[in-house]
Amino acid sequence: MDIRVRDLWKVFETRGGKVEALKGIEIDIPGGETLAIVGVSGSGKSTLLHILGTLERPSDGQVHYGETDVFRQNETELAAFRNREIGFVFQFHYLLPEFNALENVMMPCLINGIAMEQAKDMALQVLKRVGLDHRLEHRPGELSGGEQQRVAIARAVVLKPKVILADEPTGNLDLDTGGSILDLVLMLNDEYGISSVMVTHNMDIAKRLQRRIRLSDGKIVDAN
Amino acid sequence: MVVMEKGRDIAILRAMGATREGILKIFVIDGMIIGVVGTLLGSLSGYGICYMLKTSETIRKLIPFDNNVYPISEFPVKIEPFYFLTVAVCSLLICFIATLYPSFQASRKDPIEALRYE
Repeated sequence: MDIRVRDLWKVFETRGGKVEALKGIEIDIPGGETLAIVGVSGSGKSTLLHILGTLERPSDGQVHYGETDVFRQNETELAAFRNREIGFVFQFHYLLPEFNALENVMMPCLINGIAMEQAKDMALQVLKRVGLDHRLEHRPGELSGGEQQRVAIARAVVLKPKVILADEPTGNLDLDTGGSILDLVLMLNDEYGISSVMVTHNMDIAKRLQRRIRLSDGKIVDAN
Repeated sequence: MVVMEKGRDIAILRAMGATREGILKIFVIDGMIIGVVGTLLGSLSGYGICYMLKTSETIRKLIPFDNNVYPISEFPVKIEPFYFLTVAVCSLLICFIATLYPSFQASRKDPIEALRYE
């Protein structure tokens, strides 16, 4: 599914006045593409990712997933859309600490209304795919940083979404583990045809993706 | 307390597609589980204490009554199922009302705030 962003603006009202975080962003992301968003802190990368992920509404502009203008939907429709079509991976794993790896991966399926047994099968399959079938019963605190991030990736792709949105997914990991996490995202992108949009400071990681855009002061200043 | 501690988890559930109503339900159910368990434990221990007071003279003697002050010499005990039921229902009702405001607050939390700052 192609993603089209048109004339996207995000303005925050602060005590010190208005802050324009995004200024007329335009991007086309063909289905299955891997795209890196790079830029210094405060350039608007995470805000763009949150809007692409429908967690935040833009001040102006449109985001189309295929033919759907996503922000024309109400909150409940947006939540269902997010559940079906978007998988998030954050810098910190953000797994639910009271649940084990299998239950964490089942969570999007349960939110979707999928029956417990089927959700378990789906989670099991994807955890096998990311090489964690021997860690099913382990809680996040009993997993290494790399394993936690693998579970987070499994959770993001369990419903086979159209896009993975990743905010510095390797930022909290050492070089080798970070590299293996990126390999995993690229492998799933290839296998499932999922688009990946990744915010990163790391140019080595950005270069491994198909395309890069650089943000500065809320605008795209470079795209290649 | 639970709502304050769970800001990040709420944000993650929202990112996974949970609706505000879904979050509200989770916290109401969580509060009611605590309420039901507390009410059951309270009713059982209340019944146990009343039963012991009623049947054991030794225990009754542990609570001394000054006959110069009180017209009775022992603690009177009468176990009425209706009172137990009334207290249990009131306790559950109070629990339910007490869960509503924090649950509503949890459902209104902005996931972006939690993801940015937690």
